[in-house]
Amino acid sequence: MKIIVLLLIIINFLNAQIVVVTNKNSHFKEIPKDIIQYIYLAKTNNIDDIKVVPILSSDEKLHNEFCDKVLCKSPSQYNSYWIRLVFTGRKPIAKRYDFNDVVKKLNELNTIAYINKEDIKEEWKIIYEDN
Amino acid sequence: MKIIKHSIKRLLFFYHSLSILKKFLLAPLFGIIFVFPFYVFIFLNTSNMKLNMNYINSELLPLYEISCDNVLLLEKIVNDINSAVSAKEPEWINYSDKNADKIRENLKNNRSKKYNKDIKETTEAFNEYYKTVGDVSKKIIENDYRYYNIDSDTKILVNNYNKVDTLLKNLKSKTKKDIENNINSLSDNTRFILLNGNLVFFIWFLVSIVIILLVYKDIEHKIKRIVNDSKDIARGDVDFEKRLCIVSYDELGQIIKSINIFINKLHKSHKELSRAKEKLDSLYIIDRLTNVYNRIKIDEIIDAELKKQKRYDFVFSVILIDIDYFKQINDTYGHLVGDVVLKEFASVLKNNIRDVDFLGRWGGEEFIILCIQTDQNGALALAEHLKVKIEEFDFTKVGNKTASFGVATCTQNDNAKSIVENADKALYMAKNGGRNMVVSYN
Repeated sequence: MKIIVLLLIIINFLNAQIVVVTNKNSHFKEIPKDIIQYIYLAKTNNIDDIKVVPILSSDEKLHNEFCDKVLCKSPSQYNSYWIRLVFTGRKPIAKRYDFNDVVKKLNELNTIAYINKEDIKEEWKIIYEDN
Repeated sequence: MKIIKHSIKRLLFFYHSLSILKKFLLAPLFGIIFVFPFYVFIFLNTSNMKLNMNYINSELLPLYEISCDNVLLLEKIVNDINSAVSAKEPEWINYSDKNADKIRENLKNNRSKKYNKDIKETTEAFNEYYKTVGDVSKKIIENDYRYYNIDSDTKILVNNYNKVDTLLKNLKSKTKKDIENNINSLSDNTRFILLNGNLVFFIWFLVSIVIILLVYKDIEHKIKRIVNDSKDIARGDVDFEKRLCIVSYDELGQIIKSINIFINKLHKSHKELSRAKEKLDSLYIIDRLTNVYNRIKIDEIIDAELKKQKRYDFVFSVILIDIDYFKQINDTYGHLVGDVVLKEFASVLKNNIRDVDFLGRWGGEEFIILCIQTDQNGALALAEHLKVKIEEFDFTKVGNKTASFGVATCTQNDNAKSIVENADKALYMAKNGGRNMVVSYN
């Protein structure tokens, strides 16, 4: 019984793994965590001199988990951060897309998005996996 | 060309007519004339500087102050609204209205016409920004950071903010630069005035020195001329032909003029005196009636001839002549006729003596002839000749007359008295011998 519950919990966790993906044909391979942070926090635009466009998800649970696990910020910290960028005239806040739009967006080369690992599609490659 | 020459002449004449003091005053006067335009220029410069100062104080500094103020106010507004959004307090957004109004008021109070355009632009941009920031912030708060147009809204907000921020900071830096430029130009102006002030003084000084030197040289030259001319006049014999050269028409010229007039007067007076002296001289030694030498002159000549005889061994003779029976003429015809006869007698003698002989009246009816460098024979011959001439002459009213002649020749032993005495003795013998004859003293 206990073992089954443990397994279920583990499976749950396994299912909730976040990966950052991009189009298979994008020009870069794996990127480390801190670079992902830089990109999603608008501290940099490029990986290896290639312009990278980050995509945000409108799935609240996914987004919060991504902020937490990958960006290491709480959601409100993330919001405050971006509002500060707006008010100091540096960057506007990006749109958030639902899953279908994310799929469409990933057709363009050099765009990255975060998804649940289970939702991964053939055309994409994983460039970051959260352990 | 002619006009220039004429004007130069007139100027020179004017210069020569100035008094000596005025001549020296020309130096600072010319200095001022040369330097006056510089002073006008410097004066204009200082007025310019004053305008600049006013501009800085009344327009630029206040504008700089409010632009610094505005930059800080904008920062305050941003922080306040940022906090409001972060804390999800829409009410806090309104607290920034006060600051926004302050910014607007600051911009309105600008007094500088030059920045009107910038101010207008800034005001419009700020108003737009403030509206946008209020609306977007409220939207974000209401929608909890997620709504469809958040990207475009925030993009507009970012642009507006950057625009206002840039405009406000530009205003600040522009006014600062303007102030700096004006202050630099003030300092440049001051330096310029100082340098040129020195130059001006230097030029004035130089011009004054040059003119004083010129005037000094001129006066020195004139005085030298006067000195030389006066030395010339003083030197040598009295020469009334010389005058002092007129060197100018000032005080020196006045002195020269007076001296020359004085010399003129002296000359005239001297001429008169000379004439008078001549007249007097002749009166002194000429017998008035017969116009021949009188005794005084004859004595003089005898003395001179004696001296010559002693020294050079010259010889001279004396002839004494007496008109025969002259008293009778006076008694018979009167003194007037007698005077006429005397005159005529004298003129006959005069016309028949030689150039070297001196004829003089020795007494009432006595005449004397001094024969220079003549020995006894020569004198006798002359006497004989004269005797004949007298005999031949027809005297007025009285007809023919005769005279007696006594001749004496001067020897080593004779003096003035003895020579005439000898001639007198000879004459006496002629009278006693029957008159109308020549006797020589032996």
